[in-house]
Amino acid sequence: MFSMTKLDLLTSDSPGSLLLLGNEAVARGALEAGVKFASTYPGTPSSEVGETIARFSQNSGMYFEYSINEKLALEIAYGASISGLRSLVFMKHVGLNVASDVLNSISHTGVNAGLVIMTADDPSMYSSQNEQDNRRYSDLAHVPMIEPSSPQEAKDFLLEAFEISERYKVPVLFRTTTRVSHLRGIVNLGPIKRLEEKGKFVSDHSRFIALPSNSFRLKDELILKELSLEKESNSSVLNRVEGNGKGRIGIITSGAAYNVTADTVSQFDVDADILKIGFTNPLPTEIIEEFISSHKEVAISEELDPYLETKIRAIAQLKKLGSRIAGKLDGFFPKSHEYSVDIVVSSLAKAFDIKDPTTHEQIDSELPPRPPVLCPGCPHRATYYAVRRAVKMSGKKNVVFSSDIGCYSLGYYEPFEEADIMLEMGSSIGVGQGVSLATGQTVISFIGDSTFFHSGIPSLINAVRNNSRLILVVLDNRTTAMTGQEPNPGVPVNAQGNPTKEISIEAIIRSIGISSVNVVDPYDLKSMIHEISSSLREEGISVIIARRECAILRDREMRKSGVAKTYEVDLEKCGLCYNCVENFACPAISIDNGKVSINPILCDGCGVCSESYVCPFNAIKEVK
Amino acid sequence: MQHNIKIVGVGGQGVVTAGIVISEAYRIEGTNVVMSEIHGLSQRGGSVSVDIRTGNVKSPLARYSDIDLLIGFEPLETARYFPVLHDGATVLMSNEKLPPVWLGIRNKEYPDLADLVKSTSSRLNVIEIDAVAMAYKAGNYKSVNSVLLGAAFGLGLLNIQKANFITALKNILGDRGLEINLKAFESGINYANSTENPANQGRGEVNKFAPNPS
Repeated sequence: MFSMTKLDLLTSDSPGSLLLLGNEAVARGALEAGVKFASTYPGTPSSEVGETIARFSQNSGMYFEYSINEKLALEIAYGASISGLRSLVFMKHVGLNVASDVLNSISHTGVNAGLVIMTADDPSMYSSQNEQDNRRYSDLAHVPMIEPSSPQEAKDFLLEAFEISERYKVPVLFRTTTRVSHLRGIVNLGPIKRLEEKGKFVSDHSRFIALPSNSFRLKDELILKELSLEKESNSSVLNRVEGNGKGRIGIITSGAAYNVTADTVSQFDVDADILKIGFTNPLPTEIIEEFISSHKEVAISEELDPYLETKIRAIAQLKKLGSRIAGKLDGFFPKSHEYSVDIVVSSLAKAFDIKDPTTHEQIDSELPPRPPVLCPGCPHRATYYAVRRAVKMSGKKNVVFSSDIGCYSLGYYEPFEEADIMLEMGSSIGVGQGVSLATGQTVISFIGDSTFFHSGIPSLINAVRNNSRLILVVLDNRTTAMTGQEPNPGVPVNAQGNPTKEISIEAIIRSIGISSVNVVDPYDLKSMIHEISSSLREEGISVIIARRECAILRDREMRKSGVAKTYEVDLEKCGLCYNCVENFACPAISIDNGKVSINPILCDGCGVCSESYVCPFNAIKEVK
Repeated sequence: MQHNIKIVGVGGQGVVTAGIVISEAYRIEGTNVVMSEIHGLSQRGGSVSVDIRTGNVKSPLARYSDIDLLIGFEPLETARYFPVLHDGATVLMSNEKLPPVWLGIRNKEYPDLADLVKSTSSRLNVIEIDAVAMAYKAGNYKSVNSVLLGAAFGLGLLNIQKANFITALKNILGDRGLEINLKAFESGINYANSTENPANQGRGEVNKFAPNPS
């Protein structure tokens, strides 16, 4: 969303420094590494990588696409890599779950030109449904992993990741977290590398055919690669020791945890040396052995799982090292959420009997909260308003709302509260089917246009095949809104804004045998309520496609054309029923001295609040 | 020298852009700077906060109660963060009230923050500013972040030279609307030095550019 660095600076081949977001630095790194092929499915906190590459790919001779899901993004990048082009694929942590089938096969076959898979984990879940430590994937797939801590490292380490990938013909995991991807800092630029424009695929059945006979041998080759990679890790510049080596405590850390750990050591003058690991799989066992041997007391400061710790304790046991090691497994460091200086200093204090300087007095605010809301003019607000009204009017009890991942997840919040279940990308249809089949209750599933393409289609086919009863509302705002308005297959433009084939959601749905498919403009509350009401009376599967462009996209267009509509309240007509503030909940409308007021700065001019279904007094009028 | 800055407001107000301008200005100044931005789930209308630290630091997140300067685009969001400042730190607060929908849903109105601000003033230097009016005067609402940046600069709360600040504004905001933003920036500086500013009315010297003494 905030890839703001000027394009000419970002793609400049002359030396200098720029203030870059971690994700922008990854995109710059792709240029410096000579990446020719990039693909993704957008997901926060990785989105700005794609947003940035989309801006320069065309002029930089780099192929870039928003694939319909992460599995495809990785397959496509793999295809390019085995054809000789350096390829970068990036996704949020849960995206790698979707792509893990590919990862665990291509680890065996290996790659040709460098293939780097960036996974952006989200400790503390600022924008995710779960907290998972994707470092585990590098063990599962037996692939090397690199972890940067800063924007500078995000760029520099990416170059090294490509070298490693190519040298060992293996895909490399590049793991960031929110606090690295969304960290902005000073980055010194390097030269831009220009590589072959076109790849060439040369058949090699011994590698690229994953039949048991081949995979049996490839697995052993992969284990051998791991051994060589361990040597590589031991001599890698990505691992380094900070301090004079004589500190009382030796702290081993990586990623964003390194930043808060280093700040803790300097801010509190902790008598410690730090081993910062950037090459986190395979671990540099010799460096670790030496570091532990030279410190009687060792702490492991890492976010989320005891990933380093488990392995480091194994190294200590194998090498019969006598130092005391403190970490998560003995309860000193927390096992969930991101770390802060306060957390690290408290954990060290507990582990090493130092006085804890933190006071832990976080003051609970009694001020009214500001939970996340749909934007003014958001078409989803109109949809949720209409669905709520229609369900109420139908008199149906026990209606189950099965929601999904996107801006429309916010329909969970008051006053709509139209989410009883919400899980992962595309789950609304599948889980909804399960509930419907198990209970016979009416289920309304919500799915966004991009999520529908991502993984909703197979679920809907399954619903048809198994005679499910389901009302599906496709919230089609003609973009992938939450991650930064990336185009999806439902719109006639690609990542670079060039024309491409638009795929019709309704044609897909009709083609699988669903006849009740209606496309409605959610701003038209009357039609929306009518369609939902009919669906509530139907058997089988009925689909309503609520289609209206995302308000942010529309605003951009309107700003260009200079048209700006706003609405105001005619206080003489206003009946003070407060329905608009209490049940429509637009950020532009509030109560001021008992009167309803519309903030002209926030008002998006959608006019839905002026419809009689929201304002029965017809008191809301366009400002002329 | 370390300096911990927090900028808060509501999505759509230009909070992140203001943070990027300050960080860019520090980069030009030759000072190490790190900035973190958390957008959360909503794009417009949700709480937004940006953390900036300068000096010999790696993480953009200061310790709790260790913020030197809070720039608030919205009173309620600003008040929420009073506890994260150390004693004697400065708050620059725009008075543009944006009631959260949470209030409307409960048929409630925007809270009166006067008492809270008053009681906080014994611990913090709270400087309120009608940044929106000044932005309109400069040319448009969107320049409100430039007004606040100008005021923060004018109050001596940022260790940046003016020329570098202006280059940063140019680098980040681009040419479109630059004239208005520069005007807004100047009006912020003027406010900081004027008698309208309560800090200049004998209510105590603003603790300029003061990191936590502890």
